[in-house]
Amino acid sequence: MHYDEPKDSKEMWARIDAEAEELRTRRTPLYVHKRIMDSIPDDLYSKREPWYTKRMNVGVVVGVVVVILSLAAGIAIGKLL
Amino acid sequence: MKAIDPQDRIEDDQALIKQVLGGSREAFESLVLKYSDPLYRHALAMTGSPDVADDILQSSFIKAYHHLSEVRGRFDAWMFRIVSNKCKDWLKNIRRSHVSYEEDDQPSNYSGPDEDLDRDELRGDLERALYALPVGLRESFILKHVEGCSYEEMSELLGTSIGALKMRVHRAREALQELLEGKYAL
Repeated sequence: MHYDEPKDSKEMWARIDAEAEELRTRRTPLYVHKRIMDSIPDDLYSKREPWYTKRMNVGVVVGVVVVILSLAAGIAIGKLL
Repeated sequence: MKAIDPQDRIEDDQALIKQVLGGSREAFESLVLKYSDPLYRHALAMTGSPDVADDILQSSFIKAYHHLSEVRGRFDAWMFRIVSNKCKDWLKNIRRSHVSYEEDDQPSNYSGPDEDLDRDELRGDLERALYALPVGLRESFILKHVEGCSYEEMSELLGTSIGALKMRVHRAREALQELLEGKYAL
């Protein structure tokens, strides 16, 4: 379509509508999506698991201490009985 | 193309929000991809600057991410209000050496034969004319004529009555006509 001299305001609005139509096809540049995703914090909504589903990592020293304390408690209870 | 039921869309968004709150970044990316285009166009039309529109979109989605648990009702309307407020804040704060439209930004009398130049010129004149409108009129005009929203949708997004919005669009059209008809409607 060639934009020659418009004759009246109706033609002006047709041109403005055509321009608006073109504006409507504008898309967000892809780098903006990437910038948004790069900018959001990683840990704000970190996946929350209930405590009973979490794996426990017990170290060797802690394990030995727990075993010794259990034995001591067992001996103490045995003596009391 | 099959139209999406608005209620389905709201439920889809709520499901995505729930996933984001549970730690899914992918779900947030889905929301960004789903709504960024109309929000970007709105920011672009309101500010007239692609760089500013980029920044407004980015900061709006980051703000949304931090406050996602506060969404009640439609996510798109909530998100639109964030972008709209940021556009208005930018327009309020900007300190341009703004000379009145009548004095300095009057559309030039150039009338070249080249179609691209002609279109660029119209676009520039339209942007300047839009920029000369009060923010409320500009926002309503953009939603109606650029985004193609119905008055019902506009009313939901802006929280304003349909009657008031019709009046704003009408006044915006009158003002634009006044600003542009000297050049484009002889």
